[in-house]
Amino acid sequence: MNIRGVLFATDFSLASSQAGQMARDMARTYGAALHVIHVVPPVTDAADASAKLERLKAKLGNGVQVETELRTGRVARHIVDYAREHGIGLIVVGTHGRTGVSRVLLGSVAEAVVRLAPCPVLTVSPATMVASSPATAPEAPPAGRCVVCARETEELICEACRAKIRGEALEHKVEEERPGRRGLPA
Amino acid sequence: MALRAVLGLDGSAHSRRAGSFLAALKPAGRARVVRVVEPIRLSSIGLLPAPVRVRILGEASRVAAAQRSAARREIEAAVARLKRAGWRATAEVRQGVPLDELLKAVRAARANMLVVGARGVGGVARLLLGSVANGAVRHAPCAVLVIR
Repeated sequence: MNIRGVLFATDFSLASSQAGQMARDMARTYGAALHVIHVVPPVTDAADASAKLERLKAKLGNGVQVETELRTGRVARHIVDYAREHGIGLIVVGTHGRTGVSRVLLGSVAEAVVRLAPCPVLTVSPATMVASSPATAPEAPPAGRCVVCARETEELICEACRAKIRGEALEHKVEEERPGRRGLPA
Repeated sequence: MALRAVLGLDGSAHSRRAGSFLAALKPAGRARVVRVVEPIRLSSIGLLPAPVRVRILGEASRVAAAQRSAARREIEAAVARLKRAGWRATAEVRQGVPLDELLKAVRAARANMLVVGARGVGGVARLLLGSVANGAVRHAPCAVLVIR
């Protein structure tokens, strides 16, 4: 099998760092170039994205040639377009394991990528970390703390974070529904 | 990372490609090849007269036997190909709901990768992603490789 390029789509989260290692391993095994893409969603501010991308390039660049790409707009669409443009043989993407309401509101980039991709896709879930490398598994947030921001709260997710999740989802929806503005940088 | 993969087959072209893709992955690890056969459900058969019922049940069991032997052939071919590529491969036919059985196989094998075709033989050809692949991405406790 000859894979010319491995594309790692990252959102710089913990979930995607495991995916990054798998992407690097794959690229190294096949002597393929490793492409790292980050897509800034329409309404978010990502001033430090290019610096983060450079740091990631330095971290993953051990033994493989790394190309980076920063785009703004609809995330899954840009990832799939990039894969087409560069003849990518495998896309690697982390999943957040969102369920229920937050999944419906925020959606799943990984699922959309799997659906639209022109090539095989490897999805790496947070659970994978626990299964494959218990030593590096992240600690569960201690009880009594918010699972998102780790501030003290009685609930699973604190009120501030819940509002943030609701607010982001709402902004996102408004942006999507406003005709003619889709995909433009915020 | 040592690969412990579960390969889900369903007789489709996508799943054949999934088998070749996995065999070509390096370094070769361990693979469990799983084919899930859905049981034939005959819901209101009790309402039929006995002779008809016997006839239908006979047919159904012949169909089921044919399905099982086709499944066997498919997974044995995949195992042979994996072994040629240096994998330690075993095969298993499971009966039940495909996604559920694949996830059970993943847990039983403590697999760190589930490999499936993007779309199976069931459903609509224009669908971009089948329900098994989609469900695997959502629910598998391991990495999921979707091949098209």
